[in-house]
Amino acid sequence: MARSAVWTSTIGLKVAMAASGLGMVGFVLFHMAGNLQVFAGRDVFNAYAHFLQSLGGLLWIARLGLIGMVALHIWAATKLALRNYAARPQGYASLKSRRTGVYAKTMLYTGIVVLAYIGYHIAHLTLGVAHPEYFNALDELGRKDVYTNFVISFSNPIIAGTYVIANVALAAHLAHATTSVFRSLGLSVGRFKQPLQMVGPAVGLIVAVGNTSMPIACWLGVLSV
Amino acid sequence: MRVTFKVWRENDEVRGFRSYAIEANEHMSFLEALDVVNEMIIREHEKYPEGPIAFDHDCREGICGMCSMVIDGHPHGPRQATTTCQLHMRSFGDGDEILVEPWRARAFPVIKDLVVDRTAFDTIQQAGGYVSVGTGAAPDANALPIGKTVADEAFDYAACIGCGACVAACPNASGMLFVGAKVVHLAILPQGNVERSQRVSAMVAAHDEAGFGGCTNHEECEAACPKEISVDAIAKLNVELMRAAVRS
Repeated sequence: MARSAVWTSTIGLKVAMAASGLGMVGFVLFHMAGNLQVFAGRDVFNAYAHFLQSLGGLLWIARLGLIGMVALHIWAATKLALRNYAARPQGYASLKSRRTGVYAKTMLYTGIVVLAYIGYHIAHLTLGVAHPEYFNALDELGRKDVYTNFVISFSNPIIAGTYVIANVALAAHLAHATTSVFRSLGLSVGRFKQPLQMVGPAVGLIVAVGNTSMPIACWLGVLSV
Repeated sequence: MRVTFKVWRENDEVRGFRSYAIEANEHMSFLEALDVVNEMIIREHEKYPEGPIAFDHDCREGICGMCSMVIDGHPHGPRQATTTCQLHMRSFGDGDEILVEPWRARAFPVIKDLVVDRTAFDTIQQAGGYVSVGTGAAPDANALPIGKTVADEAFDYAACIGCGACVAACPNASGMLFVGAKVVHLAILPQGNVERSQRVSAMVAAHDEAGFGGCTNHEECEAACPKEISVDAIAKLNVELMRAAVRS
C-alpha cells in the first residue's frame, strides 16, 4: 500500500477522525472552562472575552485550526459512514448487541446535531446574527458586554432549551468518541486500557454538567443582569 | 424437547424464512439438531419442496471455523466463547423458536441458505498473513528464544479460526478483528517481524478492497468471537499500519 493509500484506508480515516477529534475535545474542555467564568460575574467574564478578542492573529490561527479539524472530521466520517453502510446491503432479521451502547450507536446522529448546533452557536454568540438585540452592548468600562448578552439570551427558555439539548448530544457524542480516540490511536491496550475506557464517559459527564449548567442557571434566574 | 427452527432459505426456489418443528434431544449439538431437521425434510420432501438446509460444518469440535450462522441474533448462538458446533440444545428451552440466519456482509455473499462465501478472508490471508521462510525439517524448539509474555500474546491472537463471527457481529461488517489478530500475532514474533510493514499494508488493503466496513469501536466483535480475541488486536493493528506508513 502506497503511503497516500494508507491515509484513505479504513484505518487511516479512523486515525484522522481520532486526531482531529482529540483536538476538538481539547477545545470543548478549554471553551467550557473559559465560559464557566460567567459564574464569577460580569467583570471577570467580560475581561475574559476582551482578552480573547485582543489576541488578534492568534485567535484566527486557532479558528482556522478548528475549521480544519471540523472539515477533516466530517470528510473522514462521511467516507467511513458511506462505506460502512455499503458493507451490509442486507441486514439481519435479528442481530442483538452484547457490548455496544446507545452512545456508540447514535454517533452519526449526535454528530449531525452537534454540527447544526455549532452553526447556530456561532451565529448567536460569535457573529451576533441569530439574536442581535444585546450583541453590541458595552459595559461601563467600554468593553463588549458579553455577560449581558449571555444572561439575557439564556433567560429565554427556547434558547436555553436548545443549548441544553445540543450539549446533551455533544456529551453523548464525546462519551463514546473520547474512549474511541485512544483505541484508534492504539493507546488503549494493556494496563492503559481500563483507565482510558473511563475517559470517554468522564468527559461526557463533565461536558454535560458544565455546559448545561450555564444556560440552566440563566433560565432559572441564578445568573441575572 | 420440541423446538422450531426458523431458518433463512435462499436458493433458486425460495428466498426467506421457513419454519421446521422437530423433537430434539437436549444433549444434541446444534448441528446435530439441524441434521435431524434435514432428515425430516428429506423424509417429507413433498411437504418441504425447498429441500434440505445447506449449512457449513467440518470438524465439529470448535477449531475449523466453518459452522457460521447467526442464531437468535448472535453469531454462533447465545453462549459466549462457543462455536455453533459446540453449542448444545440444552442452551434452549422446550417450545423455543430459534431464528437462524447466515452471516450478512457484502464481502460474504450468500451461496445457499446458511452458507456464505468467505473467500475474502482467504484473500486477506494470502495478501500477507504468512512468513516467507524456507521450510524444511522442524527447527529446534529453543533455537530462537521468545519470551513467555510475547509467546502467550502471539498464541492468543493465533487462536483466530477465521470463522467470520467478528464481521457478522460488527454493525459495520468490518473484518478488523480478523486482520488485527493475523497481523499482530506475526508482527510480535521474530519470525514475522521482518515483513511486518509489507504485511500490514497488504492485508489492510485487501480487507478494504473486499468491501468490509471500518471499525467504530463497538466491541461487538470481541463479544462474539468464539476464541475471545481481544479488541486490543485492532488498536495494535492501527499502530502497525501507522508505523508502516511512516517507515515506507
